[in-house]
Amino acid sequence: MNDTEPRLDRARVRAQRETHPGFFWLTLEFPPDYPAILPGQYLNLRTGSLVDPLFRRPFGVVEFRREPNASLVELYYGVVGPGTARMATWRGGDEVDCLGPLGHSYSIVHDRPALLVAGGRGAAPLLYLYRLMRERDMRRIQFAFGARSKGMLFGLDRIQESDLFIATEDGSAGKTGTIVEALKTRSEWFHDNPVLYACGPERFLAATAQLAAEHKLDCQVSLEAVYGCGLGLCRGCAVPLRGESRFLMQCTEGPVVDASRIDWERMHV
Amino acid sequence: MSDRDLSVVAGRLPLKNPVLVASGTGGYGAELTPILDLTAIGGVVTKTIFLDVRPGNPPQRIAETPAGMLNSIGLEGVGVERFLAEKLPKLNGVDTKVVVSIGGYGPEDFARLASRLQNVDRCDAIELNISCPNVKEGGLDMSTHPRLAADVVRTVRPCTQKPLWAKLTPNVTRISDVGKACLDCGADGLSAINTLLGMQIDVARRTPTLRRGVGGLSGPAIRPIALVKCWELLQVLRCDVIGMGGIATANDALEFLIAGCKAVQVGTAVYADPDCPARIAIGIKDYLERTGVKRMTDLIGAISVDKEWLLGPKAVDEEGGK
Repeated sequence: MNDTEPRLDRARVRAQRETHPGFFWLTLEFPPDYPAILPGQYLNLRTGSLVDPLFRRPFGVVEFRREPNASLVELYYGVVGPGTARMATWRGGDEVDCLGPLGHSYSIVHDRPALLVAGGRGAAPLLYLYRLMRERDMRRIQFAFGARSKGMLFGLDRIQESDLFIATEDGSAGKTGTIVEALKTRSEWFHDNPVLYACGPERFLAATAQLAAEHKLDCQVSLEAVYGCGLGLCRGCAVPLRGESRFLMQCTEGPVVDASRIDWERMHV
Repeated sequence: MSDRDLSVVAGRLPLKNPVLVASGTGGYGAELTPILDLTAIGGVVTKTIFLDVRPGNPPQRIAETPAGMLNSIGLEGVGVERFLAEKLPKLNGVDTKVVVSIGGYGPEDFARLASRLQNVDRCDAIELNISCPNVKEGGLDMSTHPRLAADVVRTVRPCTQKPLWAKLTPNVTRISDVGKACLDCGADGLSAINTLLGMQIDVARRTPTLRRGVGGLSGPAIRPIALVKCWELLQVLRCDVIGMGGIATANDALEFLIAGCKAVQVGTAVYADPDCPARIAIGIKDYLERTGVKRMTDLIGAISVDKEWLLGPKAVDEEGGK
């Protein structure tokens, strides 16, 4: 189910709105027969000319659904550099050069509780994952969402209140501090052998992976890196693996990876 | 249907059109096939293989730069035996030329690889990667010195009858000295250029972006440099040059062809725009039609210059920048 061959499409912007200063919710239209995108898989968007910025920008999808005449994809992003700054200027009707669907998705483990752990913008693919899990009536799903401040939280209206657990570093919503620290006060969630599904910045993922390891729990993390191509051609997004000399290519073998495989020490200087 | 003849012979290798995918940018070839029709282009140069498996460098390996990128992949590769058993056969029956890029720690490695490839039908030509800046072992950038480059070509030449291209580094004062050494030892063509040495610093972390500090710069940013290096080779040596460096459009490719390159390779642009080599080939054909040129070979080297004012080959490096 992750073996869909990538293709190049011209998607159309249906809508884009700035939900918080510098943060955008983008809805793209694809042909109705567009291959299904799974949670954790991503699209690689051209944001400018071939010259600048040179690389495409990868985004995990927040939502994928079919309409009679279109497949709809929702993305959520923050303006962090020249690529996303250009995206912020897109308006309804604009065409977007899109390569996808790419990468490996999360694997939903249906018969075990789910603990979704989101760091900031990393909540994007987890919102989609959460929706699928809820539709499948999984018995226990917790959505732990950490961000720097209240304004950086998004998509909360898509999560049942009883499933939601929030921490902000400035204390403007939920618990004060990082979400990983806050989770340590909820040890009951680590009973019954739940699976952790995480997405966010690298340090946050490393901390989540460590938490999972301490409780001997399975943990799937969705990594983020600069991708040169998204097709495994440039070999740029290497991830060091524990006990192996070879590197994993994040763009094709990830972005979702079993956290216990990653050698976090060798990840970055 | 067009009656334009796009075929060329570059470094003794006949090609249906002059556009190839550059080494290291199209994997081992088959990775591109979901997006790019390889039969629409002249050929593909595969990722450099060594005798042994190479894991490559630890991250960070790449960085985006103005109109370009830095890479320090470190010649990650599966090694020749897995390449021949698993990778190359995926191109069987694909109507395009396959140029196998080879690398080594010394001339004997290159010779052993060339011998191994001699009876491999799917290998149509060999490109000697004597110019990668990204490997830890000292002295691997053998194209920085004419004698070292000559040693490789001289040792490989008796091992193969296949067309042999030597890929040159631009990180030298006079590329034609190295090019001449390669030709004198039997190279059929010169591929130019490999990446330029470059560096980027992450100011927030006060560390080089790339783990190894420096890497190879490629992409549209380097195109004028690549073109002048090819120009020097063409003017001084009158040989077959396969030009590359920042080519992303048909217009870019035409610059190299009009300068006199027999073929071009598209590299970094493939990452952002994986089907662009096919579009470049179409764009070249359109240009021939539009300008009334019947054969590709009529356009190659069809540059007109003011001989009185043109910088001569020797002057290229002496007066550059003035």
